[in-house]
Amino acid sequence: MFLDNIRLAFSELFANKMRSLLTMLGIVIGIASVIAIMSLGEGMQNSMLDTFGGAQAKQIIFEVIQKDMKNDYDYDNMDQGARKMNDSDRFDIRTFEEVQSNFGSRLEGISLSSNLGKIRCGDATASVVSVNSCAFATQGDLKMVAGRKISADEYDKGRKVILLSETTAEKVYGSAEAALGQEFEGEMGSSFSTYTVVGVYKREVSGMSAMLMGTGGSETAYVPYRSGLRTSIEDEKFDYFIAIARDSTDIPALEADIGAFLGKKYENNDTFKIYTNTMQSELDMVNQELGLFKGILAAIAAISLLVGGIGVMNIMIVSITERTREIGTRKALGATNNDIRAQFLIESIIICLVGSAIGIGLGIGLGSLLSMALGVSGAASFSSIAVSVLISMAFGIFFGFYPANKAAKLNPIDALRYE
Amino acid sequence: MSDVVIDLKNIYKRFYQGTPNELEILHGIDLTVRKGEFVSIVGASGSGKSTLMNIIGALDRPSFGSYDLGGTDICAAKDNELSHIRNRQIGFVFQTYNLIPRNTALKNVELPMMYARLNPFTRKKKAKELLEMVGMGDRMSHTPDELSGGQKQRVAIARALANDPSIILADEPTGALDSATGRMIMDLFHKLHEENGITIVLITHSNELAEETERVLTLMDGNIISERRGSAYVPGQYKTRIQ
Repeated sequence: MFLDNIRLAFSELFANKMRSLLTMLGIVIGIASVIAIMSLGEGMQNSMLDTFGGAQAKQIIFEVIQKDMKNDYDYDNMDQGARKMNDSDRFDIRTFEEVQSNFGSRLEGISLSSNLGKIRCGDATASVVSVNSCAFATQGDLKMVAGRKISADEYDKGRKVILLSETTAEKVYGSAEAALGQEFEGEMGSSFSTYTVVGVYKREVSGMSAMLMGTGGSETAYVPYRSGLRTSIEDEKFDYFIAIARDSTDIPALEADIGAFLGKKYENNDTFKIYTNTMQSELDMVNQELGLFKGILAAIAAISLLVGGIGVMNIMIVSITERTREIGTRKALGATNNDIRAQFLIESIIICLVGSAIGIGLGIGLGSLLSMALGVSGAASFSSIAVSVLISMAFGIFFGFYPANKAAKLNPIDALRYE
Repeated sequence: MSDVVIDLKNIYKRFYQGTPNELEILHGIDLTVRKGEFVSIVGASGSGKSTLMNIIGALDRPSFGSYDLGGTDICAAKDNELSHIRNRQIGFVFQTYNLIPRNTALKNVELPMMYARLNPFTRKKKAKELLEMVGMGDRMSHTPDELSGGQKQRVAIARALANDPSIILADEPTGALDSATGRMIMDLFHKLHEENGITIVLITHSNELAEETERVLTLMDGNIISERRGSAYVPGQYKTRIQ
């Protein structure tokens, strides 16, 4: 009986191909857009994790800010009249050494980097960033295409060596190999600087990471941190620094511990305090926003699904009116109200399920196309497909129930006489 | 009395009951049909034929009176029980055939057996036998729109026989057919009656056809005004006519 109803539903579906297709179109478009949006959203989140999930997720930021500010960009609570930050408020190398000696077992290191500005060399322009070895490790996926990285000794002594990007190397020297050992001379600000090229790197970025991290990435040149300093490192002062936690360290706990340790130094400071933040919490925030964005888009798509469901209901009512005599005949032959109800309910479920099957196919295609265009690895998750199937089945029942019930309650005598 | 299949006693049917438009169509009908009988009910339009047929066919309940069909009290039956009775006890043959479009002859004949929850193999086998019996063995996979009127009616008769009902209730079965085809359908009823002992109630406005049956009941203005033996009824007439 159940199988008979399914067979019957399909034969009705094929008997009116054009009508069935148009009826299903709403469901198809609805499901396709839900799936496409979900898979794109998931792709974006995955890509975020890829970008920030590695070294960056282990970053803890310590920053000196005014006491009344809630975070580093809380300019509303910033007191413009307060005294300016002076050297005694800032961090210095001794702060880092203390942190390192107290928390060394849980720390990979302290990341120091500074943007030295643009350097021009012929047609090529590169942003010079001075890094210590720890900061260099957090720069993402850098692949050496020629030469080597900056050595520990070069970092320590602040040698004038430079890592160029492949693009810059090709522009200035023709090829990555040709750049090795060359003197890279350029105009930086108002003065000239000269660095020896020791390596050429290439950044492996996906479209999404490039989008999130900006476009500066590929034209960056790296030099040892100390080489960029005008004074000695001992005299250098810092507004903020980034600590990198070791793998499998409880980052929030480390954040709190170092925060408390540094906080003691600021207990008697009249204007400033320590603000801490982790990349992870930033990541969570972005993720949350992305999830909200995804939810809103999915809700809009769900409205088109709803419209599709109403279309199914409409066509079911039309179909039942057309088949009134058939219903009367079936009842005369012994069909119970439940038999008739089941027949039309199954028919409406089948319309929705076939529609959703087509929609899922389309949605997966559309999702991967969009993901490809945005350069993220989006894939429709099993759960979003399962949810779509369940939703469309629920729609079949919900929007099929009224027409099916109407059919079931037809009076057989009237139905038999219906012209 | 055990061979009485249909027993209607003092049947009244009123429409719009309790409203100023109340209309009484049947005024106390008494009617019995015995097993194996071929009975016809004749009457002009407006005589209450259709209403009586609906009651006999368990499509409707009488307003008053008692109706016993094959041992079941129809007046007390619920909707689902009426469905069950129609399914098992009554085989309908309609003037307009009422085959399900897009379904093959075979599927149409299987339909009452599907509602009787018979398994697909049993019902297919039975449907084939029935279609062969009505001479439609070579048209089993045709859909109604590929069949002539006479062929459709033969499929409908096979369908009516599907669950071995107590009676065949035929409502103007030749009404939409030309006289030659109508003749063939009547012959088929005679054959089923004579050879298979099937009980048939024929509802018609044609006196000519009614006279061929064993017993003719004439309905006028909601009363049975006469009951007599069909003047043209000859026992074994189908066999004679074939020879």
